[in-house]
Amino acid sequence: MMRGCNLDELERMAHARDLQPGRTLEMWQGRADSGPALVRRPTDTEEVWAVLKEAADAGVQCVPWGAGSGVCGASVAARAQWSLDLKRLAYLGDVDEATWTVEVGAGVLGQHLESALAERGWTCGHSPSSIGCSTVGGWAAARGAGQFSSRYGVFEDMVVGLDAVSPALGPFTIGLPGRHRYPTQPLEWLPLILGAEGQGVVLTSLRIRVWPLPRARWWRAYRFPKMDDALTGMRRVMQEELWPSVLRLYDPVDTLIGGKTRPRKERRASAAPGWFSSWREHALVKPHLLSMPLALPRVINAAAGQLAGSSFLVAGWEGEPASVSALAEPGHQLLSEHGEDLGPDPAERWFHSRHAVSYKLMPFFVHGAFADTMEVACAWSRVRPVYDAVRHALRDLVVPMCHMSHAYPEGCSLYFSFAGQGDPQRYIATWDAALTAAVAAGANTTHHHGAGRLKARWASAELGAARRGFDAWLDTVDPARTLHDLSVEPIELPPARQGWTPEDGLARTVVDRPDALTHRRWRWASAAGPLGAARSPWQSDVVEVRGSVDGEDVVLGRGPRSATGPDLRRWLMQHGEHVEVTLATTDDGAMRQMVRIPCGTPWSVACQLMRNDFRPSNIWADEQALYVGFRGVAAEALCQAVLDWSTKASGLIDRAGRVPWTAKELPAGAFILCADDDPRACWATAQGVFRRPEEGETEVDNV
Amino acid sequence: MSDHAAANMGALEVCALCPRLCRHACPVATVTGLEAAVPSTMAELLLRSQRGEVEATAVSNLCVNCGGCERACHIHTPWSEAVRPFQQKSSVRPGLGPITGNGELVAVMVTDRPWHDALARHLGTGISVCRVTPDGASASHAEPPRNVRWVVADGRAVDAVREHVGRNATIVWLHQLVDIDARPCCRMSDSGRHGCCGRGGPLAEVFPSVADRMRTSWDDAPDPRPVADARCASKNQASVVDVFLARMEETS
Repeated sequence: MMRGCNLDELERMAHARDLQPGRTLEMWQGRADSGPALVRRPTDTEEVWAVLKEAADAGVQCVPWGAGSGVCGASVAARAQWSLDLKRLAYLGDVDEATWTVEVGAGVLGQHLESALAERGWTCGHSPSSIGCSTVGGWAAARGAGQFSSRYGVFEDMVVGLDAVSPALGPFTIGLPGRHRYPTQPLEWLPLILGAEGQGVVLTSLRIRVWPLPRARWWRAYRFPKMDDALTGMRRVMQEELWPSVLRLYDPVDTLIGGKTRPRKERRASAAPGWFSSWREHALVKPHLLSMPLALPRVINAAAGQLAGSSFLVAGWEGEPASVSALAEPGHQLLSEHGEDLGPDPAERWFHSRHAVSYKLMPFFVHGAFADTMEVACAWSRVRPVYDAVRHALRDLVVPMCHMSHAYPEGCSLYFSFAGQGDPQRYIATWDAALTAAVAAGANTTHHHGAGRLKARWASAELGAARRGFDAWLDTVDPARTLHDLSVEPIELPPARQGWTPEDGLARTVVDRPDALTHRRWRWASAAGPLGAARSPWQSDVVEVRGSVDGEDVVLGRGPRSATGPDLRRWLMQHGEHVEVTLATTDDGAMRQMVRIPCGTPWSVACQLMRNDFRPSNIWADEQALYVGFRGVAAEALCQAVLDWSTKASGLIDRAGRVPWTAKELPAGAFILCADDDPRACWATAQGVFRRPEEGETEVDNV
Repeated sequence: MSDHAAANMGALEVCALCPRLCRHACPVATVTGLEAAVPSTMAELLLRSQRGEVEATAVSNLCVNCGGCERACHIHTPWSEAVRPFQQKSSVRPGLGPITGNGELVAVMVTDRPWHDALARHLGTGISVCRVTPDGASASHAEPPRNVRWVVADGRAVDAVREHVGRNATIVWLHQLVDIDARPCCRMSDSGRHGCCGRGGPLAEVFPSVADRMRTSWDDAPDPRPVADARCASKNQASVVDVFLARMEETS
């Protein structure tokens, strides 16, 4: 037997770090952590509970570990803790074609899930660049967002049910049940679990939405002389409800360094990408090629500012041919107003290399430098101020660049990449400066990487007194804190810039009762209405919630979407005082078109409509017909596409026609999946038809 | 550190710094869930072993050299070459028996399912035969007949020929010779199983419990779909020999 063959010891060392670049730097500089006390690798939900009980008896804290692909340190156990590796929870069920969902174990790697789905003609639509090295449980724990989030939603939009284990309560189920029957817990727990980064409970299985593989894709790339024009184009595409799959803007520095607008080069003899060949040939033997520029960030940043010119934007639509055609053409018109059309080739290149970006970080570490990324989000009017503030804060520390992606009608995320000399103090100073500047300029702490330990102080500041809601829940599910606790003292920050402009499409409303929310983008859902599990991914309405908890003011949201820990907005609405909610609003002047489809089971037809890739702005039904409305520049084309579809879909609905736009409120509240022909049906998503629960009926009983 | 190991440090460094992007393609990491089996993690531990920070060179034996990670790697880092110098030499090496017959094509048999007669009929030429022996016993092939081409149907035959004839031996794959759409197994053990399944090699010798788990998962998993990415590409296909013999039967 060879020395060092103790698998437990090898596993302990292998769990010593996640993919936080600061940890990589430590490893490279010979300062790696020694790893957790023990690695436990349960194979099922019951075994997870057994390990938790064992840990509680031993007085040891556990830290859940998926594949260790996090970049904020949330999954790394300290020397005195146990690492709870969940990869052996690798169950993958069949696609349920009745509900368009699939059950998947928390430990299944994302790429394995997508490959298995693709073999059967499906996708879950979640495509982060870490898909090859991250687990489904990790996506849920950190509230990830994939590159096609504008179409498929962020990860919490995809979860319709889950199994988890509470150290105090044992296994339980929320939402759509899976193959195991555990005691059910309320849907209100869902936003507390998703984003909790392994605090409170251990995720073991998830039920997620799936979609047919897209039958059509449309790609275009654009060059914008002015980045602000490109941002305006992105905003208009989203607010015109054109729902692209990808809308991704690279700032001038990223465009310059990445060479994204250049024509395709001749293929090299080597299969390796050009940068890697060059790196191997030059940087390995000439370290100064990399280290010298990073020693002079201010000079390099000034030079890059002078040299950089245009910004590069990738736009893509995918789905059913009819809707892709109806949506992409007006989107192209909007983006072409100020952008130069570069054709589909550069965009397709991005698509085919979209998972290779992480390879670019390695050369920096080889020479003792570091490269890291920071993603925040904010409303459209704050994007430029946040961008400028972060670049200014980093000008003497590192060389930064940025791209804007994950676009929403209300704003987008800013994804900063930066490289600097590998001095640990400079690494820490860079993060302090960047995140503080971003938050002070009006951004949130994180869009989709989670907070972990790296951003814990800023996350605590963002959640503020609302954290008490989460702590109260922890006292129920894990009173002894057998699972790790990421709470820390909040960082002291300058007051954040506040205030929306009309272009953000937002309005603030005082909430004195749940149905008081009259200015809503989606008239079929109120703030107190159905949770994400019963809504389609693009139907979000509440953006920011302000209120007071025990006399302390709290502002949650600060952007179209935040992954700063659990989502406590609903808790704040229900438990806070003086609550104000900021909602997405509609443009009354926008083009509006409505179709009436006569049919006996309108909600069933609505479900089919959404399964055929239509995303109506407004939908309601009476006893004889379904009414489907669209808003924005594509409204007319989409109505025509619905008429074409309804004619083809069934002879029963061939009398469909256009009618004047009307809008009706739909009932809000909890929903239960029901039969297509249930007369009480009052709601539909691509996952099925829903009705309101009757008295004494829980959401899960009837699913 | 051996010279060979030193020469491959570039690949080790690249893999140690890589964000584990090939982990989905590793059959051992997928089936066992072992974090240490992930090529990037393994590279990190080997690198730290080189520096004297930890003693973990044994981790290299978790790699079955299937090449899955190299196929998944966007920059084609030669991981197999990098890890082999660290691996324990397997004590069980395939042997190569004597050649019988006079044909210039030598069919290298691993299993008891003969296919050389069918190949001879198909090509209309004489075929010699040589058997792989599981116990390492080998006839002398230091000076094989001139112009011999070794016809193989799986990776274990390739290993045996290269071990006992030399790396310059001319090897021809059966599926190329007869133009059939079936891929050979990358490596087969004496029991006729895929090497990736844990039978034979350093994995079975150094980490027998892991090899056991591999075998169980590969053969008996009720729902093995999550490991589809990490499986040998030939796993879900009929073997080259099966396809070839079936076609010959149809033809006759």
